[in-house]
Amino acid sequence: MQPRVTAILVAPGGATTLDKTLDGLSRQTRPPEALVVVDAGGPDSPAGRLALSGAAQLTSVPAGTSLGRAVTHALRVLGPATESLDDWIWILGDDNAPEPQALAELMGTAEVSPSVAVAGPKLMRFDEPRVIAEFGETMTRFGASLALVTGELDQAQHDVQADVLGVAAGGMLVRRHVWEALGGFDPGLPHVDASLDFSTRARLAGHRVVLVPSARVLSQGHPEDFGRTEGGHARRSRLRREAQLHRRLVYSSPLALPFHWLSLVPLAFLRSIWHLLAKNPGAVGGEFATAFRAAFGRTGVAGARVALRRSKKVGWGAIRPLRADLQQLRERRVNDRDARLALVEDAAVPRASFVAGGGLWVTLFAAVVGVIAFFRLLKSPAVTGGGLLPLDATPGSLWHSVGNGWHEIGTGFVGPSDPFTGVLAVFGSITFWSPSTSIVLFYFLALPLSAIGAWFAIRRVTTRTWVPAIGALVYSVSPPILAALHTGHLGAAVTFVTLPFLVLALSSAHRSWSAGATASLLFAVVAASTPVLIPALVIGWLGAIATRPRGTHRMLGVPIPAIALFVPLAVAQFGRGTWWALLADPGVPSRTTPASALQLALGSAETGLNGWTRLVAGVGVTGETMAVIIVLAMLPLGILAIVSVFLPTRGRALAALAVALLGYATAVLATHVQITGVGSTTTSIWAGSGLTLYFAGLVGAASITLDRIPRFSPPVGLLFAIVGVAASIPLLVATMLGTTLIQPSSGRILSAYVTAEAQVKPEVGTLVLTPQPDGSLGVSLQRGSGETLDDQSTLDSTRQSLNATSRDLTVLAGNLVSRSGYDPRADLRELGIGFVLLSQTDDGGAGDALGTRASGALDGNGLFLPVGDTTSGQLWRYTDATETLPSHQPDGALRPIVLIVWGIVFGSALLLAIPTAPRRRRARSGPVEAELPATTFDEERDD
Amino acid sequence: MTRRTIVRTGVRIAVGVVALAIGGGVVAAATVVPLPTLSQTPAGRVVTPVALDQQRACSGSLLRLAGDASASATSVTAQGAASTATAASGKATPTSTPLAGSDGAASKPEVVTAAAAGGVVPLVSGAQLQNVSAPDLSGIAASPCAEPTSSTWLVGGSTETGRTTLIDLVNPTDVNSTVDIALWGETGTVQGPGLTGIVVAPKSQKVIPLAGFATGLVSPVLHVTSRGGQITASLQESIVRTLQPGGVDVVSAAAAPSTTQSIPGIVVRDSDQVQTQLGESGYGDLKSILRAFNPGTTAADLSIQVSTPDGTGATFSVSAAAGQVTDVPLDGLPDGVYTATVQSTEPVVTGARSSSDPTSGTSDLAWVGSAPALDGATLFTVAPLDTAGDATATLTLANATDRPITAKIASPGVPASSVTVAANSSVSQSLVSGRSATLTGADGLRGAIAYSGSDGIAAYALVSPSSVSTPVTVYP
Repeated sequence: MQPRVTAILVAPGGATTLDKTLDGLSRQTRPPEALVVVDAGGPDSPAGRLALSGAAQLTSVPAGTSLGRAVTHALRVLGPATESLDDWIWILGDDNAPEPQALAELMGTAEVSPSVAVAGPKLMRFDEPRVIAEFGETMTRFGASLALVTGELDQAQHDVQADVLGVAAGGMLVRRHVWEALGGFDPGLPHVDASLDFSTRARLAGHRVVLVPSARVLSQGHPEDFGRTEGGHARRSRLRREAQLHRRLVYSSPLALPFHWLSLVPLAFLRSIWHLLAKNPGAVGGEFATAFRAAFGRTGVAGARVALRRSKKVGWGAIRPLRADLQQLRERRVNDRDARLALVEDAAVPRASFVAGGGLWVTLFAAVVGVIAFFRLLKSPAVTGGGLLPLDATPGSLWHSVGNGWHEIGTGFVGPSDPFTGVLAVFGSITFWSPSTSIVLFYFLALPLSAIGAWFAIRRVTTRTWVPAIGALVYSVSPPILAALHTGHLGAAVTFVTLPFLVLALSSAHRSWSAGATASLLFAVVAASTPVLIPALVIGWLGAIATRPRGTHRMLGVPIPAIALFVPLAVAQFGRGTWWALLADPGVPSRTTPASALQLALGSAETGLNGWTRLVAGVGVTGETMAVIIVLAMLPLGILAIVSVFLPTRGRALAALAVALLGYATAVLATHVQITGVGSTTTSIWAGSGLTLYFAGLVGAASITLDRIPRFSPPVGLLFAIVGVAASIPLLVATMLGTTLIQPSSGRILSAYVTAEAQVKPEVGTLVLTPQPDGSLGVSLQRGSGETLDDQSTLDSTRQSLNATSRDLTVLAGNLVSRSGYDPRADLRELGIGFVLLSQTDDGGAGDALGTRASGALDGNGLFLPVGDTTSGQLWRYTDATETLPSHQPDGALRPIVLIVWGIVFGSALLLAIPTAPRRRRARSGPVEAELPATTFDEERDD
Repeated sequence: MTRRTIVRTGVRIAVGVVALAIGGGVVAAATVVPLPTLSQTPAGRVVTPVALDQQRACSGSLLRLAGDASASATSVTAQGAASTATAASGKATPTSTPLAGSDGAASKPEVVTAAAAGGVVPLVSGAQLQNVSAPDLSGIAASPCAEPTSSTWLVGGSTETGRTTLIDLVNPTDVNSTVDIALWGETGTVQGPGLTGIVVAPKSQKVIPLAGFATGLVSPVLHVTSRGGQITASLQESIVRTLQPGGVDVVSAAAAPSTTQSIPGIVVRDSDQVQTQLGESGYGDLKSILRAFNPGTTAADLSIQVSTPDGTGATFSVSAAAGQVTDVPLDGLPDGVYTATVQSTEPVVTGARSSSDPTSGTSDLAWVGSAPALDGATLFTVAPLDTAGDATATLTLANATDRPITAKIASPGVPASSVTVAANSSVSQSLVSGRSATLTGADGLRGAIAYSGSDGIAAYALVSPSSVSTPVTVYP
């Protein structure tokens, strides 16, 4: 009997390729006996307007019907099948324009071998007909589907393929009785893998599935996917995973089914980690969605299993040879990687080598300067004074301060911690045997680390090999870092070190997920360390997006970790109406004398021109004269920075100067925001944080000038560097002169007596009384061995009102420092106070008078036994201290939620930040890296 | 140069100029424009200490060193009894509680207490006077019942031959007091074992002879500091000039170091007889002197003005070496009650000594320390003069400031009277024996009460209640 072919053309709505396909059909050398056009486009579809003649029929299905259902519908329209084994159907999508010989070649192969039930053509790209779109499908041992050939230029190199596991749906020629016996495409696979699944079932039913290389049909994309919006990478990977899970549940043996079902969600976790490592964050959402849908949704697995069991005639072993083996997969991976590397290495990048370009020497120099400047801290296990205190003694208690919970500061409260506490916890965990030592270590590493960061960041924007070294030298010993270290503004110092790395990461965030995630982590570190920079950071982030719009999707997430960190604190601060307190410096509140706007422009965060005024006072030079000298010292940096805008390539210079201006504005505003309470006064936000940005911008702009002016040689740069460094000299010698606020410490906070008592009674309270210069009294209640740096909370230091407990505390303190008839025993017992410490004062005024009064009153109080003078002041012991002290307070219900959210956000960012993409292996000279456009290759990496 | 290059250069320069203008503008604006400051007030609270019973400690009767042969050389015995007058403000009543005398001596030190009621801190005061006439101890000695404190400056005494100076420490509190004494003389610091760590038991008195630390000291000055319970400290100086008693007096606390000191109540009497005796051996310390001690490290230039309320007086200029005690002779003053005002370039502590009637056999001396500026309502009591023969009491109020001050004196049962003290002058007013009075509106004035009679002279400065119970602002 003559074979009979019915072409079924399924046309979704909006199909623009239909004409070409119909044209191809009409030119067939062996035309199909019948044509059914299925209009799946709803009203106004192009197929609906077709005028068909002869054996052609037009039918319609609702919009959004899957290809399998559309074909089934068409077959129903055709009427019942004949008994003939040679009744064929040829499935075409609207984009599957066949070449004239396509059907003839397909039939040629199918007719001669009765065992062939399914034949597939070679799918070519619609717009590049010489490139193979897809040629045969298979699956791995684990059921993941993959195309045998894709995206290769057709040079007949694959024309030997014949027997395969599966063929694509587009252009598939299938015996009608087989189609009907197998029940058509699985309705559980509406999008992808339907044809692979169908072919597999045909194989299992004992039929053959073959490829016909000589039959070529065009294809625009995923034929099963028509009628839907194209969607992005995330949707496609979700559909593929969904199909894979569905097939897994259908194909598995009944015994293994429960285990497969149980493994769905755990596997989703593991695979999400893998997606993040593979810089594929878009797939994570779909991974979970599909896992849950496969586990709990109505996916028709049962029906598909029944259909499979009914049609299956041979075992799975029969198709094993057709699966993709490891060898094939490895080959595929190597080829992919080579293709990517070829693309990456075409992008040439200038590279000043870190060693040959002087980076190493600058780093060493900075390290030596650091050791000299902080010589006194060598060998001491902790550092204290200014904004610093030792850290908690164990990493465990350090991490306990992180997140929502009970904070042992003041009278204690339940609330969110400062985001900076997280930074401290990471610090302390590095030297887990003695957390406080990490801060001492940081003092010695801060300068060299900032030199390294500045060197790499400047290399990004320059081409001359010696410029990064000069810039790094000036940056790493500039006043903001030294002033921050000397006054114990740890947050500002961390920001100074982190900033160059943030610039580095942000400048390539548009090209790489890894850099974007790194930038997001560094962004969070900077925001947590110096909240006052948050507005500037947000502006910088928006600027980075605006200049590189193509990488927007990778840069959108940069602030997410910072936002996650700040949300609990923001809710608390907004709740009590003090939103501006979000900007308060973390750490121990310390008094500062903010500099004037002009002094800030000269790079001095506090009055006194970074200590010059004090240093030269002994030599008889006045502050005014000194200011002029500092202006002269800063002049080279300023002039070089300003000149940069007049040079070509001013885009980067403008960006650098904008950063400087932003930093200056931040510094000026910071001096006008006095929100952190220090005893009887409020102190302004540390202007040095803003100056960090200011200097970073100036050094960047100056480096660009050095890079661009042809006559400049390394000696000129070095001269500039020396003059710039001179401005910091008083800060370098400050420790030797003993004018710094920071001191080496044994790590003990209160006296040894209290520390020993705290070993036995960790909750023992010490009432610390600090006479203020205006004759008032500052009071704090410290538990155990004393308040640590990680105990500090801006929520406490920016408080505007007293709660009941702190009111009790003020009454108690006010009476203890007075000759008073007050009976403090009830309060002392309730607050669990065992000691009273009166801080030393030395202001020669009202503060001293109050100190004398307090000392006298406490001495005369029979309830207190003088322990003696300690380094921090006079200590008394409460003789009736109760043995039962208030136990640790509960942390509140929010703590686990906050910690889990932070864990997920930072865990994901960390996984994403681990660089796994291929790195450049060779360096070539060429344009500046920062100016490279975002490559299309990286765009594809999102897939 | 092509047109295109010119345009491009022009744009470049324009952009640069605009960028510069923005930068310069921001710096200039930040410097010139007064920016608003967001300044929060820290959460603080004024705490008024709960009113406390007020205490004054009186040192009791005069003491005699090694009164009987059986006792050790440093133990003391009581000589007679002092008569005491006490008073309290408002409805409070002063209660006297005896304290233990030094080494079991019957010196009867006591503590005067006025109970606080209804949140009101009462004023309390007391004064003691004793008139003795023994072969080795004669004259009038008067002292205030003082408020216990942790720091007392004592200017006076001597350990030359015939001069006995006893350090009298009274601890009226319930806790031990550990006392450190810093001692200076005309040659500088005096070091000695036992000057520190002197323990005074609760509710008791301890007396230590100054000669135990240094003999032959002409001009001692002491700074007594205590930890633990607060104490009152005073000196008792008695003079015997070859078998003839030369007088006795109690040296009460002087004001803390300051560049301005004022010593009201210096009684200069019998100046002719004093002048006659002065030349004789052992009578040198009849001379009226002003003792100044410069505790600093830089020499001080002192300008001393000595005057009576009616303006008679003299002016002296001396230099006080750092760390040394300087005695300035106040020569050529006619009889009267004088006020010495000291202006110094460095903080100093001062006191003054005067003597009476060396010829009649009832010779006496009087030490008066510089008076601290009065501050707030001050209650004072005039010691009972019944035992002191014809002695009278005089209140001197001195004004060392540049503006007149009008104070109000209110005594129970007597209409309140106003006293105006002109700038840089003083006013005297006689007082009634055993009476008390409250000074109000006297902030800045300095006062002293001087006793003078045929049996001898005595004086002490008025001290306002200390501010240890005033409200204090507390910032948690």
